[in-house]
Amino acid sequence: MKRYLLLMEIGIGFFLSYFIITFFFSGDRKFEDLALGTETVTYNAVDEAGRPIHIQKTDLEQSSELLKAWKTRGERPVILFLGNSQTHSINQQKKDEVNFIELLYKSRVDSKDDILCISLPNSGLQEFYLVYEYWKKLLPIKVLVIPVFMDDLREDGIRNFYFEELIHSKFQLEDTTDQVSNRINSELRSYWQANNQTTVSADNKPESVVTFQERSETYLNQKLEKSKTWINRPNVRGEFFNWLYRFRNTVFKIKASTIRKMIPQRYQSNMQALKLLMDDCVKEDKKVILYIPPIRSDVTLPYDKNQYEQFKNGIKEMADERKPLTSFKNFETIVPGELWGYKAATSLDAEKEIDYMHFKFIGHQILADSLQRTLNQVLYPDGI
Amino acid sequence: MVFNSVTFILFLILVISLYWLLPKQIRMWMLLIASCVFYGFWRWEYLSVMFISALTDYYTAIAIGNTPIENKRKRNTLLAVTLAVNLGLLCYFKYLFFLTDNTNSILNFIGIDFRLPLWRVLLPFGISFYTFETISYTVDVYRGLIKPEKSFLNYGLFVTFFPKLVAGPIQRAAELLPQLKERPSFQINYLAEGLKRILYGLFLKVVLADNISPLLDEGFDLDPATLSAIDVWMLAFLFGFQIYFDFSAYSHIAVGAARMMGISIPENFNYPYMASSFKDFWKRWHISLSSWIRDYLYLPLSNVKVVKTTGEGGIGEGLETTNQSAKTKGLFLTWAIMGLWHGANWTFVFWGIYHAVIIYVERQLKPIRTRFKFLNSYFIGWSFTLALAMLSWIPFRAKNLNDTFVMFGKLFNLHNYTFYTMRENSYIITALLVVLFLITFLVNHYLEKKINEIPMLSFGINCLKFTIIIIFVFTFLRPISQFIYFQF
Repeated sequence: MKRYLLLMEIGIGFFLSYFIITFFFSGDRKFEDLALGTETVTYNAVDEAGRPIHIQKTDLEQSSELLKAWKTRGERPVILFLGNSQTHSINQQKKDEVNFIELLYKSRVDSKDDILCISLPNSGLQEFYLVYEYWKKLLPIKVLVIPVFMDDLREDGIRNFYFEELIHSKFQLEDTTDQVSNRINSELRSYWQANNQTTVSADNKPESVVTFQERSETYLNQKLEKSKTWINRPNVRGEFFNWLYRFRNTVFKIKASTIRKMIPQRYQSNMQALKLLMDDCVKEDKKVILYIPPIRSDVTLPYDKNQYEQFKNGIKEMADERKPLTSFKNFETIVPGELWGYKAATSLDAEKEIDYMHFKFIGHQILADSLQRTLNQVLYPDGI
Repeated sequence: MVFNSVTFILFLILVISLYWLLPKQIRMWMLLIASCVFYGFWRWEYLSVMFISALTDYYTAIAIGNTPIENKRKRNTLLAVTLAVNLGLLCYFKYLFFLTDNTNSILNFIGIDFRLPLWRVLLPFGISFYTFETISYTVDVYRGLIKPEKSFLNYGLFVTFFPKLVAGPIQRAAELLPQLKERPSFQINYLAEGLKRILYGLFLKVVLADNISPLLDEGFDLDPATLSAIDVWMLAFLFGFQIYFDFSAYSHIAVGAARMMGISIPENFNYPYMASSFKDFWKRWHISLSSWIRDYLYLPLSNVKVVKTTGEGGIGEGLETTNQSAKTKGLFLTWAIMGLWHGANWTFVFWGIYHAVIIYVERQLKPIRTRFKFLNSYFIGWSFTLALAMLSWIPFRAKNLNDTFVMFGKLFNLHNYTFYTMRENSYIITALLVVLFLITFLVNHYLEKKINEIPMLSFGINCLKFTIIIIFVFTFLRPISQFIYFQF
């Protein structure tokens, strides 16, 4: 009996894990909803025919749908909006409520321009730079609209989840003279290697030879992807990390209102990426609107006051230095406190908490109006 | 083939099944073919490199065995052939670029306008490991410690045996060959013990090491001049844990896969970060390499005669009586080579010298430690060893020597302890890993015995442990990164 004990323990482990996996890994999960919670709804804007004008991931499926729809509408010059979760989230959404991108699109449906949006949750400006560099090759961008969030300057690097098509097509930035561009290129390269399960060659460049390992792993994964349990693994990983995040917040008593300090190195990398992006726009005669997005202003801000002022001044200076092609707007106080709503708590010991980032539908209407006015000023400086 | 892949799991199931079902002679052939398939899944054409090394040693060992001890000249020539072929392969594949690049720098420095062409060659997986195994085999035959193996099937299997082929543990012929020749009778426990180790290994790799990796990539990609001392300590500890999880994961899976066939291969790790001195550290970290280095480099370089070699470190005659300068010379030379073995970069040489200096200082401090007993306390030894061992990973992971020195320089300025530059999560995770590592050690060493005294409790805890491990391995299994030691 004793010699079977270990095998029994492992066997029971397999048996129990099978049931737990079957239970937890079933059902439909949306990765993007995990971090936002149930109070905040993700909404991607669509055109009058229900075709996408707004995506969150540059993957083959979503990118080609976006491009197809844009071509169907007549391949008009594009006003491209970049954004983060504020763009694609509506707090306590009611029926037929849409986000500001769709409101703007509908109000300009007869104009000579098309409106498209790519918003990535918690996106840093390095990711914005990459999005821009990729999409400018596919779309005739006329105006680029960039919200710059203080929070997002704490982010760093490129997340493979949001750039599948770039990784698949082995995309690289052309500017290799800058440290930030080089880092982005190097990250993208590391994702190809990981994706293809290739070996790292002596010169640290991806191997073009497809090994048996890669072929067999691709084949087996294709077979396994017929199982919903297998496909759901990334979402369960996401849920696990989300739980860890909430657990951390509970242990360290971190709330939405906790002061988030600037991280100097990341701040500089993101500002450098924004500079590269804007320089490129100016070089290619594209207009840029930089705006400080709305933030809940009836409560104490979750930032160090001096750092927040420094941040806003930095963004304004960057826009001013590149006039007249670039414009700066500060929308931080346009959405009144009561229109922000609340979000699911980010800790384990509370249900709801103040939301500084996302607002209700009326907030989207206010932002759409403000952006509409700005767009008109930029596109028709001499009046419509 | 990488261990952290679905392909390997299916491959292992097939090989283990055939291993226990086939008759002995066919089983040996099956294992040899399976090992070649395992390697060929990466690049089949590089099998030839491995067989050049294996065939050279096979024939030279037999020739050495057939040559009388008195005929020293012939025996030395045969040994030189072995060393030339194996080290030649290593030099060509691993060090050619490093050598030509450095030669060009020297030529440039002395003002000679001549450039050697720079050759970049793909490094065959596992070359540092299998060449060391074949060298040790021939040297042991030369020393008269073992007899040459007549069957190429047995010998070829010793070299290619897939569980330890790509990243060790570095195996001695005297330990593995008899086991391969004598298949043990089937025991269910072999499967259970092997499976347990494989699950541990996969957990360490896909759940821990792979998830720490992005934090480190981010940290080491930053301009080191902008880092704080807190960042440097954090990165040193975090990389220390990543490389430990990653490499010990490989060793767990290697030991587990071999165990499923009833074969024991030596352990490579024994809680290295609980060591109380650097000497102790190297008895706990990459044990098969440190013992190899001791038996085939350090002892000969220190003028000591080796009378026995084992996977846990051999026995030498005359270590106590050899003079101090020979020992010191042996120590520094050995560690410089040990560093270079890890990679063709000056950062690795620096890493080796760093270890040599600390071991040298430890030796020099022996009289003081004898005088002041409190210095011998485990806690003091452990604290210093842990901190210095973790810092030693900085050159190991940094891009170049300049970055290494800049990062080390950060530690000596108090101002650099007043700020940090990375996201708070990185520091929290590092602190958590230190705490969890200590808890695991304490549980394994003190609590586990007490739990085992209550069979039902032990049974319940183990079932729960395996359930959690399997769920995590299932969720995180993806071959997103190679094992770090594959590049060596």
